[in-house]
Amino acid sequence: MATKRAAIAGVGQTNYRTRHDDKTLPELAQEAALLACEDAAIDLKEIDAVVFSLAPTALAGVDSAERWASDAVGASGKPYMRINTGGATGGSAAQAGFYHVASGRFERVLVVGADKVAESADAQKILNNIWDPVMESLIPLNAITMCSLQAVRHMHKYGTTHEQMARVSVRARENAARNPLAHLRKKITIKDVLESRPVAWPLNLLDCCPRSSGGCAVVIVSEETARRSNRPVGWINGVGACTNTYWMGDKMSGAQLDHADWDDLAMAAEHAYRMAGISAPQQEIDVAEIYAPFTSTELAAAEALKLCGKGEAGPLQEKGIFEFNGEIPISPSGGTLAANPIAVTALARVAEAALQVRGTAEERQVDKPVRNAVATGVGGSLQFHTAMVLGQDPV
Amino acid sequence: MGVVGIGKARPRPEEPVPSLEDLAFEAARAALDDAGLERDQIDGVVLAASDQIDGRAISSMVMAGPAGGYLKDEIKVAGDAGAALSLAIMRIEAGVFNSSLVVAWAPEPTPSTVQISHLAGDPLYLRRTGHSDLAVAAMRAASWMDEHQSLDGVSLADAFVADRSPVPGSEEVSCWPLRARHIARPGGGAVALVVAGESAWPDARRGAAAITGMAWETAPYFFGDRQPRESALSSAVRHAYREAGMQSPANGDVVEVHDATAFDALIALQALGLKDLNQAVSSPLVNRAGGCFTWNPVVAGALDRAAEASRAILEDEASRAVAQMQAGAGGQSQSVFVFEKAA
Repeated sequence: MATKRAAIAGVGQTNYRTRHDDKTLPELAQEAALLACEDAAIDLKEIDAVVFSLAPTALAGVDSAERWASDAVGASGKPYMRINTGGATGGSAAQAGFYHVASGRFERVLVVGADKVAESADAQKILNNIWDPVMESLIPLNAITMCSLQAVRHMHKYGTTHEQMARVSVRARENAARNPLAHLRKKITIKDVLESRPVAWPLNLLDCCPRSSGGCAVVIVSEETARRSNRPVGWINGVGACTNTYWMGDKMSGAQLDHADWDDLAMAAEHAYRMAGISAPQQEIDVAEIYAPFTSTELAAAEALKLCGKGEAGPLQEKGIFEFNGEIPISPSGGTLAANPIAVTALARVAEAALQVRGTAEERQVDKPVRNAVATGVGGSLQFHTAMVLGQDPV
Repeated sequence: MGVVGIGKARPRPEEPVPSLEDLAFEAARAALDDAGLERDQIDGVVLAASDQIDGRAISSMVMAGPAGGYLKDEIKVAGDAGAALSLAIMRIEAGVFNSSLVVAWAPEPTPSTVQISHLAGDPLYLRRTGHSDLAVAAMRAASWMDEHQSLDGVSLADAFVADRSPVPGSEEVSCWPLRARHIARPGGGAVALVVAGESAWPDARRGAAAITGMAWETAPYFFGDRQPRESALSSAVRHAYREAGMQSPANGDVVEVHDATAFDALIALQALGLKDLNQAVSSPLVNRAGGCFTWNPVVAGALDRAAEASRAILEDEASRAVAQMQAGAGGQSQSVFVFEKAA
């Protein structure tokens, strides 16, 4: 357990769409920040410290864009830092915000960010700069093919089928239809997914996340502040993170951790579960907001979170376990397949999990009571993993 | 909370240029060896680096492993070593961690940080003006000289550099009033610290340099909006000193200032409470190993200030040391740490 308890008192998200031509990146972040402060019933001036969530700054076309955004998010005259762990950035930033409060140094911390992925010249070309420019530039390794390699391995190891993967996308769109902020909200069928344009086998277009733009923010407060406000909060009961090797080839054939599985996420989740006092995730986790940029990744993540056994996520979907009204709804917000503003996607998972435990997710609030929710983030070559457990009550 | 180990990796002219991974590994390994600890005994890792300077998006993908982060709870703070050290400390203060590696680096050869920082100007207004870290540092220097006209700023800057730079810089005006000799030349290298809570101190080989005060703060993005000019720095100093229970450095205290330029050093020395700058610039207790004018691995150059301040404590050369670190154009972000001998 942490030295001091911390809770998410405010959540703010802009709508996520392909372009936000009406706002600069700082303005998007500001919109999210002000929404989060309003939700927490505090003024931006009352924030004690700010953590900015921003993955590759090149997507914004501005070096160190967090500095450009600092005034817009109220960071001037305050402690301020930017976190960058690739796709996991939002989860890492939320954890950094948690540590600000749990250390006892700050009462109210704003974690905020924004992205304009589709507004860069070519997001994939920018993301391709994550690879070695000499050795790896010769092979078609990019953010999509790296996930297709993992998908192939999961299919080989467990017999996962493309139809099972496609069901993930169908579920995401059904959930997104209830979320007015989601980027992609049109319902689709398994047939639509299987017949969509191939991108990198086995991933077709509708197996993949969109390029989204938008902002997200959460306000994390101390226990004293939370209890004084007498408003619903999401208690941050557990946090964990794990970084694996960059080299995917080192995760094959007898390696410590197999590339098919997300045992690194399992390690992060184990730490978060232990802090939160959760020993039986299948029974104790009520909602999982999973960072899954591709359909295959959601299956691996669900297994890593011990919501089911390894290799079971694909077949279990047919029993409706992960559906909106199932035993363990996955990403009732629509998740990453419905919106992926990279810098804040993992933060949005935290935000949505907080909304669920607070009971304030509006139309996308699941029907069952939500005592505990888990939110994940993933980044790099599927190597950076974050897990945060939120609860209705503190531990 | 304290620093129990220090490690550095610096390219050596007589050897082949090391890879960035080599530098980070060497520094992290050296810090662990210095602390007398193994990687298994470290709970977490906090990195500080700049993708743009490294020349790779999400550079921590390839760097986290060599820096000690394999299968650890690792997190990266972008471009600000002071904030990274602060986060490592907060993670321990939160009771979730007991120890942490903090690692920062810059590649060798180092790209033009001026050209890179040009892209930090917002594309709508600033970029067309030639905005860069160098330009804002020059404005900061000019503004300081204007405010302190009774001081011969250039002479003070020259005196600061004279004792610390192994190679005299040129007279060429880089960006008035900064001449080439006033600017610490960026180079490659890595710095690593092991930070640990008190329960780990008995296991540490040399004890600990206790962190008795720390603070960090950010000023407005636009230099013209910074009124007073050094509000972030003075506020960070005030908060760190208050936590440490001190008013200003005493005789015998070591002071490490982030001297990316000589004028940055003067401004920091003044803010830290060394009012007699004529004495401070030549003091052997200020930037004892030469500071950035001897070695400036950019982001790691900031962490090196904390490393040198800690070293003074761990080697019993001072009972207290203060480190100031900055990041962003014109020192937009400021961090101050106070180190004392662990009781």
